[in-house]
Amino acid sequence: MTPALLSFFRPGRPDIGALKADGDIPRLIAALRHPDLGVQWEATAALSSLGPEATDQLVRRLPARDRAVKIGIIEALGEIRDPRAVDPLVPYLRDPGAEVRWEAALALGEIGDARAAGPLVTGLRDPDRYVRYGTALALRKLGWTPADDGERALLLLGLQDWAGLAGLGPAAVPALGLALGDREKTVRRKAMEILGEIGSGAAIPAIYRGLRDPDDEVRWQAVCAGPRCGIAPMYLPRGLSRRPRVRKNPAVAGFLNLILPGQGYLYLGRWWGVLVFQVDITATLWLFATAGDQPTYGLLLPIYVILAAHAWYLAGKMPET
Amino acid sequence: MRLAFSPLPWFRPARPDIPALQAAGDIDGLVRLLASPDPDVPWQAAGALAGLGTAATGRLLGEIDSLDPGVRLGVVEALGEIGDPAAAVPLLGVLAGDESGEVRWAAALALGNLGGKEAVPSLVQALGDPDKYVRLGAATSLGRLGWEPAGDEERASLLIARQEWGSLRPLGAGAYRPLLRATRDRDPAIRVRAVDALGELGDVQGSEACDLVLRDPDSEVRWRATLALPRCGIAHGRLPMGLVRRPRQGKSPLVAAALNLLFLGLGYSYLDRWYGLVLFQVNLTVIVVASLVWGPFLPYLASYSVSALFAAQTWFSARRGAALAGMG
Repeated sequence: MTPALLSFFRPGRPDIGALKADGDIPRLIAALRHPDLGVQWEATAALSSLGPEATDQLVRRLPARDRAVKIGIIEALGEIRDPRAVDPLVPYLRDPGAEVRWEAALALGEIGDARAAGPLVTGLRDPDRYVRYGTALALRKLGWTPADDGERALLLLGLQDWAGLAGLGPAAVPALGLALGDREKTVRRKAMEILGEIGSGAAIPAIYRGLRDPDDEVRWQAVCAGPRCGIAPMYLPRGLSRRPRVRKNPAVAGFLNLILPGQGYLYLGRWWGVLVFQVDITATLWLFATAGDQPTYGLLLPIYVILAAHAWYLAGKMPET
Repeated sequence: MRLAFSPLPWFRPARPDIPALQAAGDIDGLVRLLASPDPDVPWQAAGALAGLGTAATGRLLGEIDSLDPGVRLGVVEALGEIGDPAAAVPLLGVLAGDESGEVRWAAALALGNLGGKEAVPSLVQALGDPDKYVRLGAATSLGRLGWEPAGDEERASLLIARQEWGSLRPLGAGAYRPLLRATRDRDPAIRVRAVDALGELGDVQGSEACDLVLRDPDSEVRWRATLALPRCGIAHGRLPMGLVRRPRQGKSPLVAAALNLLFLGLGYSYLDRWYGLVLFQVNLTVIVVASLVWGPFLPYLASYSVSALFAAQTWFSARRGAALAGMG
């Protein structure tokens, strides 16, 4: 490969030192898109070393499409610690990208302006644990004090301080209920375990939700926690019966094999379903061409019924994972 | 034997009489049984071969390159039990080069059984094997051979092989390289422990290691890295940039919508909906039949208008799903 072509696939390392000496903000921002994390970090550090004079330019370039650029600029603004950046940064606490929200929360904590505390608090309820963690660290840096035990619980949840949450008792239940909606199953497991330790009746709706969790370990923790929170063991089976079924549906497998023979097998994860499908198409066309439609239907339909019954039977035998 | 006559001999072969084969000294017969699909037969055959002692060594060495990993495993087991020093060099070859992790593991243990010190350098090298079982086997055998690590780096490799993570901290910088290797292990549980240990060491020596652990495909490794790296002097603010590069497992809403626009139904198949292909077939059939009546233009125009609606619906529902499957 020619060097030009090679550099297209693997861009060279930009000379961050020279760009920094020139104060070349646009090219430093371009370096934030470099595939090497080391270069991205160097570019961010160079941008932040330009100090408060760079704030206006950086803020102007914040609405970038590229996520790495957005994150790099926010990080640099956080390190510059210019209070003028607080208002432009606040909207990024609601960015669709979780890493952007995380970085914005950390940057507002670095700047250390107490005005940011109000908008930051909502981040303690973020569905993403990284954002909650960054928000909790930032609030701690701002010297924010929770207004009540409910907010204190949210702060502890952000820091993933499970022992602290257990120590708060029933006041921690709403925060733990929030954690039960986390997409990370280890967080949900831990939250359910702590709810059981607290053993408060206020946790009953959360435990019913846990009984329907897609993760079996969360459901198990919910079964253990239920009686401690005052749910009669008698009512647990009904709660558990509403869990999502991950087993393949036998009716769907049979239906697919009846109308598109082979696709039912593919749906059940059998790779050769696609072979059956292709063989069927070829055989159908050939029979139509040589024997006409009546014999074709007469021969193939019974086979389809057998394939449908087989797929239905296979699906029924599969264990529920 | 339970059945004197099996009506379906291919499906249910009769249990071989292994003690009789051993008594008759039928080495070839026993070696053949190492490939038996019956889970109980190969290990009994290997035991019987070992019972024949050094007389079997030569024949066993002839099978050490068998294509069947089950046979190689039986051969290595038997050679380890026999303990004939003549097997040491071939077993070193197996330890260094066999593609099956279980066979390498057995070879590591067999070399410990043989007891020859010449195996030590290869066993030390096997402490860096990508397979955790091989590493554990090598550590066990090195212990039996009375080996002592030469420096902190070797000691760290030994401790990682034994998964004694708590003992790594006093080794300091010497543990760094072996731990870095462990952050690339196949087993996410090992990577989690390695990242934790790096955090306790308090040093990651540059961006490369950070990049690796923050981009890990396992969400728990990424989370532990987020907690560990600030203890190594990496500012919290630097982490989002590393984590944004992680592999995304969610399906792309754009791909789903484009597929549904061009090939109505296949976008749903891409999203693992069972009805995607059914919709695809129905749409094609309708277009073909309608084309016979009205010619191709109108049916295709109608079909793409319908597809556009489906594509828009797919775009929004897939985006909702992608947001849920986000960061983890």
